Amino acid sequence: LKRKSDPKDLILMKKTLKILNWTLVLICATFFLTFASMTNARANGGPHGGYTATTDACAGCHRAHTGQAAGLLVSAQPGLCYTCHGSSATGSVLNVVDGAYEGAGGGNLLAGGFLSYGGKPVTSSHRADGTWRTMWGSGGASGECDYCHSAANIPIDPSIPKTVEFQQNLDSLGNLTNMNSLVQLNCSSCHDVHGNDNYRILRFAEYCAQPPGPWDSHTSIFGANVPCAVTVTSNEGGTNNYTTPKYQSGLTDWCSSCHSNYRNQADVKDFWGMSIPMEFDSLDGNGNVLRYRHSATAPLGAKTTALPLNDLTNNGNSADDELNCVTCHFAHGTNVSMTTALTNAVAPTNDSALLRMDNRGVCENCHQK
Amino acid sequence: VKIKTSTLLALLAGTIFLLLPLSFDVYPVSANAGPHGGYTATTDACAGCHRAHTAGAAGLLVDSVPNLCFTCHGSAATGATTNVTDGVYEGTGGGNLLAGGFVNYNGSPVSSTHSVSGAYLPAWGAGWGTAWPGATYQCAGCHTAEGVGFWGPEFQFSPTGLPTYPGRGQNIAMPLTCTSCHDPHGGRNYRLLQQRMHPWPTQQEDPPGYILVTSNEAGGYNPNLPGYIPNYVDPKYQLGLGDWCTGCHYTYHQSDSGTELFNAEDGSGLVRRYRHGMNVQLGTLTTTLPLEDPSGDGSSADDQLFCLSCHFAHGTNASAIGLAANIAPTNDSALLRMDNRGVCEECHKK
Repeated sequence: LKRKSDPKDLILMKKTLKILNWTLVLICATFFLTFASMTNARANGGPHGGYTATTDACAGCHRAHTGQAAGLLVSAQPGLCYTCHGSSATGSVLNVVDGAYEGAGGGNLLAGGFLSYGGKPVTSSHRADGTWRTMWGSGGASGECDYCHSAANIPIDPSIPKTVEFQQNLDSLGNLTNMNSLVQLNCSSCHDVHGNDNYRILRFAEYCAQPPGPWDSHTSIFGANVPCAVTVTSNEGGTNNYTTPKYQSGLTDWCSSCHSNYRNQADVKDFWGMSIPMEFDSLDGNGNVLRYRHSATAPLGAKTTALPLNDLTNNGNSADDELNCVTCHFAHGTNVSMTTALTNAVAPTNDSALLRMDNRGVCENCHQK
Repeated sequence: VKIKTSTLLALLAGTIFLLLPLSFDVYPVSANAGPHGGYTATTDACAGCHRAHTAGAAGLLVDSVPNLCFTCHGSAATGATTNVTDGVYEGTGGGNLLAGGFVNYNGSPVSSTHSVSGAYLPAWGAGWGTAWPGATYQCAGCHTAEGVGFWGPEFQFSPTGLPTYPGRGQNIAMPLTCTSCHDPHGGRNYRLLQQRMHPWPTQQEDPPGYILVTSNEAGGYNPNLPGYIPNYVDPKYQLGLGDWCTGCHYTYHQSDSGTELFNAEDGSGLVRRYRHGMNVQLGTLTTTLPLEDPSGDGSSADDQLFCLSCHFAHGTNASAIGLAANIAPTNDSALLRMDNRGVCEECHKK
């Protein structure tokens, strides 16, 4: 038997459907707003970005009238950064001094530490204290950074402001050279403290993605001053993971902004489509000669490794995973040992060169010879 | 008696014509309005504030400052359209006073103010340098009990400052009242601001030791000019205020103190200090904050940042929470125009 529909039931049903529709809309809107705000908070945490019109963040690091360091900073770097990111600091879960993640679950930071790592003192590190240090593998015949940014050189394009953040180094013969320039690194040399879209808020607006040629893309002498940007991405998916590697792309390009020649397997410069061999003085006692280098972007292919790789397609371990600089090196500092005569004094660094494993463990981990 | 309409109109026009000068005498058309300047030979203005034989306060004042001032400029007062207590312009069109308020602003209580009570409070940034003992005293060198001058000990040393040289005399405590900043007898300066300020010698020192503060308000650069019409709600700053404020907050003009060490009373003691540039052109930055417009041509590249770009002169209702809370030495909202550090973001847009 088919019951005849009651008009009252139909009205009630329509009302119920209407309420359900609105409920769904509200739920969707709530989800959207929640995820939108969460994403902002993750990308640029603490005082590092995501600023509102009435932000309090500026006061975290700056003083308008009582600053104690250039840039109106409360105090000089790295001390200011260590106020939150230091050993006993509570302002952040990232203790970069000891290379420890102090958030839920804990662990060792992917970048290593500046003073200790894994509970042991570091044996080599990038310096964040502003001391003049050698930028190994930088420069060459074109001069690169030094060309415009050191006291010794004059920019070809007078419209480009001359700054002196780099110094020339001496070559093997004791002459001033544009290779292996000296630079004063601090935290904000690498990280954009005001936040950006790059992995770990790495700076991306000042350096070159590719090793500059004689007429490089950073400051073209033919007119346009083209700043190049290096985009560094991860497979973190919006949630920072400080202990498990989730690299996707860009880090090799980024590191080669300073260590520009290390991206090239051989010393060649792209001169309008022609490959021109150029020598390099690595300050290892062999002088200015042609150099050959390990690829910094090669896909792993059939090899296997426990070292971190770029996972371009975010499909987990696969043949398309690429080597990058932090496959072998920590970004901040390492505690590994160079225990044998073959490894403990290798020029030019003569130290553990921020490597991830003792001696040359990083080589063996891939090549398994 | 029959009177023609035309005769009535003529009489009315004549009356208005005759009364006009009288009305100007009572309310001069300039910022030197009310009893504040523009005096005639037979002025009645003195009696607005003074009593020759029955005064209730020093200076032969009817009452002490700021109460006397609030008689006209207070909350319920009707003697002026500028209600500085609540930061409200009560004239035609109304609006919020450019200077903020002393008790309320925009309908909510203030969170920090310049004092008008005469209480001794540190003038942050006062007292330049440590290169030689006399320098560190600066204001204190003449205007304290330890001073060598003849101007009287109207200032005191900061109660929380350094007790000995070097550093003594910095952030000197001043008993601010309305007349510390405003000349109640009128003058050439925007808003009757006092002229003798010993400024950091920059753009508008005229003559030496004095500051000229001008505006782009209708009718002229300063209230002495005929036809001058003050605008209490729209910023029309031209030049001089960035210098004027440094009459007290002297070192805030110095971007890098170099060897002239300063104790900012923030716990770091006598150290080199870096400060935001003053009287600097905005360049490529943009902002809705008020700027000085030296050429009076509206928004343009020559507009410059000055103290009131970021701070109210009287008081603010802005909040200071999170990282912006309890920042020494003021530990309050520091008269800022926007909540927290909104003023930074408004220009720098990080």
